[in-house]
Amino acid sequence: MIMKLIPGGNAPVPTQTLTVRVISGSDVDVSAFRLYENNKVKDGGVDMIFYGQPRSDDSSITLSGGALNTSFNVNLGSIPAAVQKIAFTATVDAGQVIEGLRTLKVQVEQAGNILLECDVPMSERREAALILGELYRRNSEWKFRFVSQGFNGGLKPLAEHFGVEVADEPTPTPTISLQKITLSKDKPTISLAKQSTKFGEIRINLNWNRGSTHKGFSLFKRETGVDLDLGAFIRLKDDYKTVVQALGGRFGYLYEPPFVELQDDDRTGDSGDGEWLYINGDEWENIEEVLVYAFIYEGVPNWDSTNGTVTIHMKGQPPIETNLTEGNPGLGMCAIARLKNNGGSLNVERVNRYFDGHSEMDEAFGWGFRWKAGSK
Amino acid sequence: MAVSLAKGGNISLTKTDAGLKVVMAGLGWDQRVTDGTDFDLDASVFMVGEDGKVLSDAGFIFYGQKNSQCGSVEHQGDNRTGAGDGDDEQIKIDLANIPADVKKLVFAVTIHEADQRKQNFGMVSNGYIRVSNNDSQVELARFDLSEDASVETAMIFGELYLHGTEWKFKAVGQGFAGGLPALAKAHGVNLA
Repeated sequence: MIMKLIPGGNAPVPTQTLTVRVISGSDVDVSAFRLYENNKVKDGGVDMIFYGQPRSDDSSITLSGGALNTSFNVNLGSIPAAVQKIAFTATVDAGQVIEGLRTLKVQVEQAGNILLECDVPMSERREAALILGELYRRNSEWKFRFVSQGFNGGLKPLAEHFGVEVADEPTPTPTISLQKITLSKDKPTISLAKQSTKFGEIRINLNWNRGSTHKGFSLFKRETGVDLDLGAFIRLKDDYKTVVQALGGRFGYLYEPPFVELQDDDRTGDSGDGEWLYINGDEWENIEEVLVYAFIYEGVPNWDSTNGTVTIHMKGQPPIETNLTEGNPGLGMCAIARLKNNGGSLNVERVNRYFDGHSEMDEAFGWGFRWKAGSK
Repeated sequence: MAVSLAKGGNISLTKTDAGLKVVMAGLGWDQRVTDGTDFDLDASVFMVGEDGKVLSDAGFIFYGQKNSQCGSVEHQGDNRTGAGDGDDEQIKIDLANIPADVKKLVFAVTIHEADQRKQNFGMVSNGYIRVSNNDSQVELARFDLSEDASVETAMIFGELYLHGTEWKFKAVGQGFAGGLPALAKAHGVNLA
Protein backbone atom coordinates (compact mmCIF):
# COMPACT_ATOMS: atom_id res chain seq x y z
CA MET A 1 0.00 0.00 0.00
CA ILE A 2 1.32 3.41 -0.91
CA MET A 3 1.52 5.85 1.95
CA LYS A 4 1.49 9.54 1.13
CA LEU A 5 3.55 11.85 3.28
CA ILE A 6 3.14 15.58 3.60
CA PRO A 7 6.19 17.79 4.24
CA GLY A 8 7.35 17.23 7.81
CA GLY A 9 5.84 13.75 7.91
CA ASN A 10 7.80 10.60 8.62
CA ALA A 11 7.31 6.86 8.44
CA PRO A 12 9.30 3.76 9.37
CA VAL A 13 10.91 1.84 6.51
CA PRO A 14 12.27 -1.73 6.44
CA THR A 15 16.00 -2.19 6.92
CA GLN A 16 16.37 -3.54 3.38
CA THR A 17 17.66 -2.30 0.07
CA LEU A 18 15.43 0.64 -0.80
CA THR A 19 15.22 2.88 -3.81
CA VAL A 20 14.76 6.59 -3.26
CA ARG A 21 13.53 7.96 -6.57
CA VAL A 22 13.22 11.60 -7.51
CA ILE A 23 10.95 12.45 -10.43
CA SER A 24 10.80 15.99 -11.73
CA GLY A 25 9.14 18.03 -14.45
CA SER A 26 12.46 19.20 -15.84
CA ASP A 27 16.16 18.50 -15.32
CA VAL A 28 17.35 18.58 -11.74
CA ASP A 29 20.57 17.53 -10.01
CA VAL A 30 19.92 15.09 -7.22
CA SER A 31 22.55 14.25 -4.61
CA ALA A 32 22.81 12.28 -1.39
CA PHE A 33 24.79 13.26 1.70
CA ARG A 34 25.96 10.73 4.25
CA LEU A 35 25.62 12.41 7.64
CA TYR A 36 27.12 11.58 11.00
CA GLU A 37 26.55 13.07 14.47
CA ASN A 38 25.34 16.66 14.33
CA ASN A 39 23.97 16.19 10.82
CA LYS A 40 27.32 16.78 9.17
CA VAL A 41 29.45 14.89 6.69
CA LYS A 42 32.79 13.57 7.85
CA ASP A 43 34.53 14.17 4.56
CA GLY A 44 32.87 16.14 1.79
CA GLY A 45 34.80 14.27 -0.88
CA VAL A 46 33.57 10.88 0.27
CA ASP A 47 30.20 11.45 1.88
CA MET A 48 28.53 13.08 -1.07
CA ILE A 49 27.06 10.83 -3.75
CA PHE A 50 26.21 12.58 -6.98
CA TYR A 51 26.68 12.09 -10.71
CA GLY A 52 30.40 12.83 -10.40
CA GLN A 53 30.72 10.17 -7.72
CA PRO A 54 27.76 7.84 -8.23
CA ARG A 55 28.75 5.24 -5.67
CA SER A 56 29.67 5.49 -2.01
CA ASP A 57 33.04 4.04 -1.04
CA ASP A 58 31.34 1.00 0.51
CA SER A 59 28.86 0.68 -2.39
CA SER A 60 25.91 0.84 0.01
CA ILE A 61 24.56 3.91 -1.81
CA THR A 62 24.52 4.07 -5.60
CA LEU A 63 23.04 6.60 -7.95
CA SER A 64 21.50 5.85 -11.32
CA GLY A 65 19.51 7.72 -13.89
CA GLY A 66 19.46 11.50 -13.80
CA ALA A 67 17.70 14.52 -15.31
CA LEU A 68 13.96 13.77 -14.88
CA ASN A 69 14.26 10.48 -13.02
CA THR A 70 17.13 9.92 -10.61
CA SER A 71 17.26 7.04 -8.19
CA PHE A 72 19.46 6.01 -5.31
CA ASN A 73 19.74 2.41 -4.25
CA VAL A 74 20.42 2.36 -0.55
CA ASN A 75 21.28 -0.87 1.22
CA LEU A 76 20.25 0.14 4.72
CA GLY A 77 21.58 -3.06 6.26
CA SER A 78 25.13 -2.22 5.27
CA ILE A 79 25.21 1.49 6.10
CA PRO A 80 28.06 2.01 8.60
CA ALA A 81 26.81 2.30 12.18
CA ALA A 82 28.24 5.80 12.57
CA VAL A 83 26.08 7.14 9.74
CA GLN A 84 22.95 8.61 11.33
CA LYS A 85 21.22 9.95 8.30
CA ILE A 86 21.26 10.03 4.51
CA ALA A 87 19.83 13.25 3.13
CA PHE A 88 18.61 13.56 -0.46
CA THR A 89 18.72 16.92 -2.16
CA ALA A 90 17.66 18.57 -5.38
CA THR A 91 19.40 21.56 -6.90
CA VAL A 92 18.70 23.61 -9.97
CA ASP A 93 21.06 25.71 -12.05
CA ALA A 94 22.10 29.16 -10.89
CA GLY A 95 19.40 31.73 -11.49
CA GLN A 96 16.61 29.16 -11.37
CA VAL A 97 14.32 28.13 -8.53
CA ILE A 98 12.76 24.79 -7.62
CA GLU A 99 9.33 26.08 -8.58
CA GLY A 100 10.51 26.14 -12.18
CA LEU A 101 10.64 22.33 -12.22
CA ARG A 102 6.81 22.38 -12.22
CA THR A 103 6.62 18.98 -10.51
CA LEU A 104 8.91 17.28 -8.04
CA LYS A 105 8.21 14.02 -6.30
CA VAL A 106 10.10 11.59 -4.10
CA GLN A 107 9.25 7.92 -3.90
CA VAL A 108 10.66 5.37 -1.51
CA GLU A 109 10.47 1.96 -3.11
CA GLN A 110 11.29 -1.58 -2.14
CA ALA A 111 11.68 -4.27 -4.79
CA GLY A 112 9.67 -2.23 -7.28
CA ASN A 113 6.83 -1.46 -4.88
CA ILE A 114 6.25 2.12 -3.84
CA LEU A 115 6.16 2.41 -0.05
CA LEU A 116 6.08 6.17 0.37
CA GLU A 117 5.11 8.96 -1.97
CA CYS A 118 6.02 12.57 -1.33
CA ASP A 119 4.81 15.37 -3.59
CA VAL A 120 6.76 18.56 -3.07
CA PRO A 121 4.31 21.50 -2.94
CA MET A 122 5.56 23.70 -5.75
CA SER A 123 3.83 27.02 -5.23
CA GLU A 124 6.18 29.78 -4.10
CA ARG A 125 9.06 27.35 -3.99
CA ARG A 126 11.78 30.00 -4.17
CA GLU A 127 14.66 27.80 -3.08
CA ALA A 128 17.41 26.87 -5.54
CA ALA A 129 18.39 23.85 -3.45
CA LEU A 130 16.01 21.68 -1.49
CA ILE A 131 16.51 18.97 1.10
CA LEU A 132 13.90 16.58 -0.22
CA GLY A 133 13.97 13.99 2.48
CA GLU A 134 16.13 11.87 4.68
CA LEU A 135 16.55 8.29 5.75
CA TYR A 136 17.50 8.32 9.41
CA ARG A 137 18.04 6.05 12.37
CA ARG A 138 15.50 6.17 15.14
CA ASN A 139 15.39 3.71 18.04
CA SER A 140 17.41 1.09 16.11
CA GLU A 141 15.19 1.21 13.07
CA TRP A 142 15.23 3.31 9.91
CA LYS A 143 12.68 5.95 9.07
CA PHE A 144 12.14 8.34 6.19
CA ARG A 145 11.23 11.98 6.67
CA PHE A 146 9.82 14.20 3.94
CA VAL A 147 11.68 17.45 4.64
CA SER A 148 11.00 19.79 1.70
CA GLN A 149 13.03 22.70 3.05
CA GLY A 150 16.02 24.35 1.47
CA PHE A 151 18.10 27.33 0.56
CA ASN A 152 17.42 30.22 -1.80
CA GLY A 153 21.16 30.55 -2.34
CA GLY A 154 21.37 27.06 -3.81
CA LEU A 155 24.13 24.55 -3.54
CA LYS A 156 26.63 26.55 -1.53
CA PRO A 157 24.51 27.11 1.60
CA LEU A 158 23.12 23.61 1.24
CA ALA A 159 26.57 22.04 1.13
CA GLU A 160 27.74 24.21 4.01
CA HIS A 161 24.67 23.18 6.00
CA PHE A 162 25.91 19.61 5.74
CA GLY A 163 29.44 20.60 6.72
CA VAL A 164 30.93 20.37 3.25
CA GLU A 165 33.70 22.88 2.80
CA VAL A 166 32.90 25.06 -0.14
CA ALA A 167 35.85 26.43 -2.05
CA ASP A 168 35.28 29.82 -3.53
CA GLU A 169 36.04 30.06 -7.19
CA PRO A 170 39.11 32.19 -7.91
CA THR A 171 37.18 34.10 -10.57
CA PRO A 172 33.44 34.66 -10.49
CA THR A 173 31.53 32.30 -12.74
CA PRO A 174 27.79 31.88 -13.03
CA THR A 175 27.93 28.42 -11.51
CA ILE A 176 28.71 27.63 -7.91
CA SER A 177 31.21 24.99 -7.01
CA LEU A 178 29.38 22.50 -4.90
CA GLN A 179 32.33 21.23 -2.97
CA LYS A 180 35.94 20.37 -3.30
CA ILE A 181 36.89 16.89 -4.34
CA THR A 182 40.33 15.91 -3.24
CA LEU A 183 42.07 13.24 -5.20
CA SER A 184 44.43 11.29 -3.02
CA LYS A 185 46.29 8.02 -2.98
CA ASP A 186 43.20 6.28 -1.64
CA LYS A 187 40.87 7.87 -4.10
CA PRO A 188 42.86 8.60 -7.22
CA THR A 189 40.20 8.94 -9.92
CA ILE A 190 36.96 10.65 -10.62
CA SER A 191 34.86 10.28 -13.71
CA LEU A 192 32.68 13.07 -14.97
CA ALA A 193 29.87 11.67 -17.06
CA LYS A 194 29.31 12.66 -20.61
CA GLN A 195 27.25 15.78 -20.64
CA SER A 196 24.35 16.72 -22.80
CA THR A 197 25.94 20.13 -22.92
CA LYS A 198 29.71 20.50 -23.38
CA PHE A 199 32.25 20.58 -20.60
CA GLY A 200 33.01 24.27 -21.12
CA GLU A 201 36.30 25.77 -20.10
CA ILE A 202 38.40 23.51 -17.89
CA ARG A 203 40.80 25.62 -15.85
CA ILE A 204 43.75 24.01 -14.15
CA ASN A 205 45.56 25.97 -11.49
CA LEU A 206 48.97 25.31 -9.99
CA ASN A 207 49.72 27.20 -6.84
CA TRP A 208 52.61 26.86 -4.50
CA ASN A 209 54.33 28.24 -1.49
CA ARG A 210 56.56 31.17 -2.35
CA GLY A 211 59.89 30.44 -0.71
CA SER A 212 61.14 34.03 -0.89
CA THR A 213 58.43 36.03 0.75
CA HIS A 214 60.22 36.60 4.07
CA LYS A 215 59.75 40.30 4.64
CA GLY A 216 61.62 42.56 7.00
CA PHE A 217 64.45 41.67 9.32
CA SER A 218 65.21 38.01 9.58
CA LEU A 219 68.05 36.02 11.07
CA PHE A 220 67.60 33.51 8.31
CA LYS A 221 68.98 33.88 4.90
CA ARG A 222 66.45 34.55 2.25
CA GLU A 223 65.49 31.40 0.44
CA THR A 224 65.68 31.30 -3.29
CA GLY A 225 62.31 31.74 -4.96
CA VAL A 226 60.94 28.58 -6.40
CA ASP A 227 59.62 28.76 -9.94
CA LEU A 228 57.20 26.00 -10.72
CA ASP A 229 56.06 25.55 -14.29
CA LEU A 230 52.80 23.98 -15.31
CA GLY A 231 52.61 22.08 -18.57
CA ALA A 232 50.77 19.39 -20.45
CA PHE A 233 51.26 16.66 -23.01
CA ILE A 234 48.27 16.57 -25.29
CA ARG A 235 47.13 13.84 -27.64
CA LEU A 236 44.17 14.56 -29.90
CA LYS A 237 41.76 12.01 -31.37
CA ASP A 238 43.54 12.25 -34.73
CA ASP A 239 46.78 11.18 -33.00
CA TYR A 240 48.34 14.62 -33.19
CA LYS A 241 50.39 15.16 -30.09
CA THR A 242 52.10 18.21 -28.67
CA VAL A 243 53.48 19.88 -25.57
CA VAL A 244 52.21 23.05 -23.90
CA GLN A 245 54.48 24.76 -21.39
CA ALA A 246 56.20 28.11 -20.81
CA LEU A 247 59.63 26.61 -21.37
CA GLY A 248 60.28 26.91 -25.08
CA GLY A 249 57.41 29.40 -25.42
CA ARG A 250 54.87 26.72 -26.28
CA PHE A 251 51.75 28.36 -24.88
CA GLY A 252 49.28 26.50 -27.10
CA TYR A 253 45.86 27.61 -28.33
CA LEU A 254 42.43 27.35 -26.81
CA TYR A 255 40.19 27.62 -29.89
CA GLU A 256 42.27 25.59 -32.31
CA PRO A 257 44.35 22.45 -31.83
CA PRO A 258 45.60 21.50 -29.31
CA PHE A 259 42.68 23.29 -27.50
CA VAL A 260 44.96 23.72 -24.49
CA GLU A 261 46.49 27.06 -23.58
CA LEU A 262 48.84 28.16 -20.84
CA GLN A 263 48.01 31.53 -19.32
CA ASP A 264 50.64 34.05 -18.19
CA ASP A 265 53.71 32.52 -16.60
CA ASP A 266 54.17 33.29 -12.93
CA ARG A 267 57.89 33.28 -12.33
CA THR A 268 57.90 33.44 -8.56
CA GLY A 269 54.47 32.41 -7.38
CA ASP A 270 54.05 35.92 -5.99
CA SER A 271 51.11 36.81 -8.19
CA GLY A 272 48.93 35.04 -5.69
CA ASP A 273 47.02 32.56 -7.71
CA GLY A 274 49.86 30.75 -9.42
CA GLU A 275 49.74 29.39 -12.95
CA TRP A 276 46.73 28.57 -15.06
CA LEU A 277 46.32 26.10 -17.89
CA TYR A 278 43.03 26.17 -19.80
CA ILE A 279 41.50 23.27 -21.71
CA ASN A 280 38.66 23.94 -24.12
CA GLY A 281 36.16 21.36 -22.86
CA ASP A 282 33.78 22.15 -25.71
CA GLU A 283 36.32 20.40 -27.92
CA TRP A 284 36.57 17.40 -25.62
CA GLU A 285 35.35 15.09 -28.40
CA ASN A 286 38.56 15.92 -30.28
CA ILE A 287 40.88 15.31 -27.33
CA GLU A 288 42.16 11.88 -26.39
CA GLU A 289 44.34 12.63 -23.40
CA VAL A 290 45.94 15.48 -21.49
CA LEU A 291 48.78 14.71 -19.11
CA VAL A 292 49.26 17.62 -16.72
CA TYR A 293 52.61 18.07 -15.06
CA ALA A 294 54.63 20.54 -13.07
CA PHE A 295 58.36 20.96 -12.90
CA ILE A 296 60.68 22.99 -10.81
CA TYR A 297 62.40 25.39 -13.19
CA GLU A 298 64.34 27.19 -10.52
CA GLY A 299 64.90 26.43 -6.87
CA VAL A 300 65.49 23.31 -4.89
CA PRO A 301 63.46 20.27 -5.84
CA ASN A 302 61.93 19.86 -2.42
CA TRP A 303 58.25 19.24 -3.07
CA ASP A 304 57.14 19.06 0.53
CA SER A 305 58.28 22.61 1.30
CA THR A 306 56.97 23.82 -2.06
CA ASN A 307 53.49 22.77 -0.97
CA GLY A 308 52.14 22.71 -4.49
CA THR A 309 48.43 22.27 -5.08
CA VAL A 310 46.77 21.64 -8.39
CA THR A 311 43.07 22.40 -8.71
CA ILE A 312 40.92 21.58 -11.70
CA HIS A 313 37.93 23.86 -12.13
CA MET A 314 35.06 23.00 -14.44
CA LYS A 315 31.72 24.58 -15.11
CA GLY A 316 29.11 23.12 -12.78
CA GLN A 317 31.62 20.88 -11.07
CA PRO A 318 33.24 20.89 -7.69
CA PRO A 319 36.91 21.81 -7.92
CA ILE A 320 39.11 18.72 -8.07
CA GLU A 321 42.21 19.14 -6.01
CA THR A 322 45.43 17.21 -5.67
CA ASN A 323 48.49 18.02 -3.59
CA LEU A 324 52.03 17.63 -4.82
CA THR A 325 53.22 15.81 -1.79
CA GLU A 326 55.11 12.58 -1.32
CA GLY A 327 57.66 14.06 -3.69
CA ASN A 328 61.07 12.61 -4.04
CA PRO A 329 63.64 15.28 -3.18
CA GLY A 330 65.97 15.74 -6.10
CA LEU A 331 63.43 14.85 -8.76
CA GLY A 332 62.25 18.06 -10.37
CA MET A 333 59.37 16.79 -12.46
CA CYS A 334 55.94 15.73 -11.29
CA ALA A 335 53.29 14.08 -13.44
CA ILE A 336 50.17 15.36 -11.72
CA ALA A 337 47.05 14.08 -13.40
CA ARG A 338 45.75 12.53 -16.56
CA LEU A 339 42.52 13.67 -18.16
CA LYS A 340 41.34 10.94 -20.49
CA ASN A 341 38.48 10.81 -22.93
CA ASN A 342 36.63 7.65 -22.05
CA GLY A 343 33.86 7.26 -24.62
CA GLY A 344 32.95 10.93 -24.31
CA SER A 345 33.17 11.12 -20.54
CA LEU A 346 36.04 12.85 -18.82
CA ASN A 347 38.16 10.73 -16.56
CA VAL A 348 40.47 12.54 -14.17
CA GLU A 349 43.21 10.40 -12.67
CA ARG A 350 45.64 11.57 -10.04
CA VAL A 351 49.11 10.37 -11.00
CA ASN A 352 51.58 12.07 -8.66
CA ARG A 353 54.70 10.39 -9.96
CA TYR A 354 58.08 12.10 -9.88
CA PHE A 355 60.78 12.07 -12.52
CA ASP A 356 64.16 13.54 -13.25
CA GLY A 357 62.89 15.46 -16.24
CA HIS A 358 60.71 15.55 -19.36
CA SER A 359 62.27 12.68 -21.19
CA GLU A 360 62.07 10.31 -18.23
CA MET A 361 58.41 11.15 -17.76
CA ASP A 362 57.76 10.81 -21.48
CA GLU A 363 59.34 7.41 -21.45
CA ALA A 364 57.34 6.25 -18.43
CA PHE A 365 54.03 7.12 -20.11
CA GLY A 366 55.11 6.20 -23.65
CA TRP A 367 54.49 9.50 -25.44
CA GLY A 368 57.56 9.47 -27.72
CA PHE A 369 58.57 13.14 -27.94
CA ARG A 370 62.17 14.12 -28.77
CA TRP A 371 63.75 16.19 -26.02
CA LYS A 372 66.54 18.75 -25.87
CA ALA A 373 67.42 21.30 -23.21
CA GLY A 374 65.80 24.70 -23.49
CA SER A 375 65.34 27.95 -21.59
CA LYS A 376 62.64 30.56 -21.16
CA MET B 1 14.52 9.37 35.82
CA ALA B 2 12.74 10.35 32.66
CA VAL B 3 9.46 8.64 32.06
CA SER B 4 8.35 8.33 28.49
CA LEU B 5 4.63 8.02 28.68
CA ALA B 6 2.47 6.20 26.24
CA LYS B 7 -0.54 8.25 25.18
CA GLY B 8 -3.20 8.03 27.88
CA GLY B 9 -0.75 6.64 30.39
CA ASN B 10 -0.47 8.45 33.68
CA ILE B 11 2.04 8.65 36.47
CA SER B 12 1.76 9.86 39.98
CA LEU B 13 4.29 12.62 40.11
CA THR B 14 4.35 13.00 43.85
CA LYS B 15 4.91 9.26 44.29
CA THR B 16 7.76 9.10 41.79
CA ASP B 17 9.21 12.27 43.13
CA ALA B 18 8.31 12.86 46.75
CA GLY B 19 10.07 16.21 46.80
CA LEU B 20 8.00 17.62 43.96
CA LYS B 21 6.86 21.14 44.75
CA VAL B 22 7.42 23.14 41.60
CA VAL B 23 6.84 21.71 38.14
CA MET B 24 8.47 23.23 35.10
CA ALA B 25 6.92 22.66 31.69
CA GLY B 26 9.60 23.13 29.04
CA LEU B 27 9.22 23.55 25.31
CA GLY B 28 12.27 23.35 23.12
CA TRP B 29 13.08 23.39 19.43
CA ASP B 30 15.93 24.27 17.10
CA GLN B 31 16.06 27.53 15.25
CA ARG B 32 15.33 27.20 11.56
CA VAL B 33 18.50 26.83 9.47
CA THR B 34 16.86 26.57 6.08
CA ASP B 35 15.36 29.58 4.32
CA GLY B 36 11.79 30.52 5.10
CA THR B 37 9.71 31.90 7.95
CA ASP B 38 10.95 31.15 11.47
CA PHE B 39 9.32 28.43 13.50
CA ASP B 40 7.58 30.07 16.44
CA LEU B 41 6.29 27.51 18.93
CA ASP B 42 4.22 28.54 21.92
CA ALA B 43 3.60 26.81 25.23
CA SER B 44 0.32 27.46 27.04
CA VAL B 45 -1.51 26.23 30.10
CA PHE B 46 -5.25 26.08 30.71
CA MET B 47 -6.24 26.05 34.37
CA VAL B 48 -9.59 24.29 34.24
CA GLY B 49 -12.29 23.24 36.65
CA GLU B 50 -14.40 20.10 36.93
CA ASP B 51 -16.02 20.69 33.52
CA GLY B 52 -12.73 21.03 31.67
CA LYS B 53 -13.24 24.79 31.09
CA VAL B 54 -11.26 27.68 32.46
CA LEU B 55 -12.86 29.29 35.53
CA SER B 56 -12.32 32.66 33.89
CA ASP B 57 -10.21 33.98 31.03
CA ALA B 58 -7.51 34.59 33.63
CA GLY B 59 -6.97 30.84 33.70
CA PHE B 60 -5.43 30.85 30.24
CA ILE B 61 -1.68 31.31 30.63
CA PHE B 62 0.12 32.02 27.37
CA TYR B 63 2.47 34.58 25.78
CA GLY B 64 -0.26 37.23 26.03
CA GLN B 65 -1.02 36.62 29.70
CA LYS B 66 2.01 35.35 31.49
CA ASN B 67 0.86 35.05 35.10
CA SER B 68 -2.13 33.51 36.81
CA GLN B 69 -3.96 35.63 39.35
CA CYS B 70 -2.98 33.21 42.10
CA GLY B 71 0.65 33.56 41.11
CA SER B 72 1.17 29.80 40.96
CA VAL B 73 1.57 29.63 37.17
CA GLU B 74 4.21 31.78 35.48
CA HIS B 75 5.06 31.86 31.80
CA GLN B 76 8.76 32.72 31.60
CA GLY B 77 8.60 34.48 28.27
CA ASP B 78 7.91 34.12 24.58
CA ASN B 79 10.65 32.84 22.32
CA ARG B 80 9.86 33.62 18.69
CA THR B 81 12.54 31.60 16.89
CA GLY B 82 13.86 28.74 19.00
CA ALA B 83 17.24 30.42 19.40
CA GLY B 84 19.21 29.19 22.39
CA ASP B 85 20.01 25.87 24.04
CA GLY B 86 17.73 23.79 26.22
CA ASP B 87 14.12 24.80 26.82
CA ASP B 88 13.13 27.78 24.73
CA GLU B 89 9.90 28.48 26.58
CA GLN B 90 9.07 27.52 30.14
CA ILE B 91 6.01 27.65 32.34
CA LYS B 92 6.57 27.31 36.05
CA ILE B 93 3.86 25.80 38.26
CA ASP B 94 3.95 26.06 42.03
CA LEU B 95 1.80 23.09 43.05
CA ALA B 96 1.18 24.27 46.61
CA ASN B 97 -0.51 27.51 45.57
CA ILE B 98 -2.93 26.29 42.95
CA PRO B 99 -6.47 27.29 44.00
CA ALA B 100 -8.67 24.44 45.14
CA ASP B 101 -11.26 24.96 42.39
CA VAL B 102 -8.67 24.34 39.72
CA LYS B 103 -8.87 20.62 39.07
CA LYS B 104 -6.57 20.29 36.16
CA LEU B 105 -3.79 22.06 34.30
CA VAL B 106 -3.78 21.34 30.58
CA PHE B 107 -0.47 21.80 28.75
CA ALA B 108 -0.64 22.74 25.11
CA VAL B 109 1.89 23.52 22.42
CA THR B 110 1.05 25.31 19.20
CA ILE B 111 2.84 26.72 16.17
CA HIS B 112 2.14 30.41 15.74
CA GLU B 113 0.39 31.05 12.41
CA ALA B 114 1.00 27.45 11.33
CA ASP B 115 -1.55 27.57 8.52
CA GLN B 116 -0.34 30.81 6.97
CA ARG B 117 3.26 29.69 7.28
CA LYS B 118 2.42 26.16 6.10
CA GLN B 119 4.31 24.62 9.00
CA ASN B 120 3.92 21.58 11.21
CA PHE B 121 5.92 20.01 14.05
CA GLY B 122 7.66 17.61 11.65
CA MET B 123 9.35 20.53 9.88
CA VAL B 124 10.81 21.73 13.15
CA SER B 125 14.05 20.11 14.27
CA ASN B 126 14.27 18.59 17.74
CA GLY B 127 10.93 19.92 18.95
CA TYR B 128 9.84 18.56 22.32
CA ILE B 129 7.73 19.38 25.30
CA ARG B 130 8.47 18.05 28.75
CA VAL B 131 7.66 18.47 32.40
CA SER B 132 10.29 18.31 35.07
CA ASN B 133 10.81 18.84 38.76
CA ASN B 134 12.07 22.40 38.94
CA ASP B 135 14.09 21.78 42.08
CA SER B 136 15.84 18.53 41.15
CA GLN B 137 15.76 19.19 37.37
CA VAL B 138 14.59 15.59 36.98
CA GLU B 139 12.55 15.12 33.84
CA LEU B 140 9.19 13.51 34.50
CA ALA B 141 7.69 13.18 31.04
CA ARG B 142 8.64 14.16 27.52
CA PHE B 143 7.03 14.17 24.10
CA ASP B 144 9.05 14.33 20.90
CA LEU B 145 7.05 16.69 18.70
CA SER B 146 9.20 16.54 15.57
CA GLU B 147 9.02 12.78 15.49
CA ASP B 148 5.74 11.69 16.99
CA ALA B 149 3.46 14.64 16.25
CA SER B 150 5.05 15.48 12.94
CA VAL B 151 2.02 16.43 10.90
CA GLU B 152 0.29 18.30 13.74
CA THR B 153 0.31 22.07 14.24
CA ALA B 154 -1.13 22.13 17.76
CA MET B 155 -1.16 19.53 20.47
CA ILE B 156 -2.41 18.88 23.96
CA PHE B 157 0.70 17.47 25.53
CA GLY B 158 -0.68 16.35 28.86
CA GLU B 159 -2.60 17.14 31.98
CA LEU B 160 -1.52 17.69 35.54
CA TYR B 161 -4.38 16.83 37.87
CA LEU B 162 -4.99 16.32 41.53
CA HIS B 163 -6.09 12.81 42.45
CA GLY B 164 -6.93 12.88 46.13
CA THR B 165 -3.85 14.56 47.52
CA GLU B 166 -1.56 13.39 44.77
CA TRP B 167 -0.59 15.29 41.68
CA LYS B 168 -0.66 13.03 38.63
CA PHE B 169 0.46 13.63 35.10
CA LYS B 170 -1.40 12.13 32.18
CA ALA B 171 0.20 12.09 28.77
CA VAL B 172 -2.36 13.02 26.15
CA GLY B 173 -0.36 13.63 22.97
CA GLN B 174 -3.48 14.64 21.08
CA GLY B 175 -3.22 16.75 17.95
CA PHE B 176 -5.62 19.62 17.56
CA ALA B 177 -6.73 21.43 14.42
CA GLY B 178 -7.07 25.20 14.32
CA GLY B 179 -4.14 26.25 16.47
CA LEU B 180 -4.21 28.20 19.71
CA PRO B 181 -7.52 30.04 19.02
CA ALA B 182 -9.38 26.74 18.60
CA LEU B 183 -7.70 25.27 21.67
CA ALA B 184 -8.60 28.30 23.74
CA LYS B 185 -12.22 28.17 22.62
CA ALA B 186 -12.40 24.47 23.43
CA HIS B 187 -11.27 25.25 26.95
CA GLY B 188 -13.87 27.94 27.46
CA VAL B 189 -11.76 31.03 26.84
CA ASN B 190 -13.64 34.01 25.43
CA LEU B 191 -11.46 35.27 22.61
CA ALA B 192 -11.66 38.87 21.55
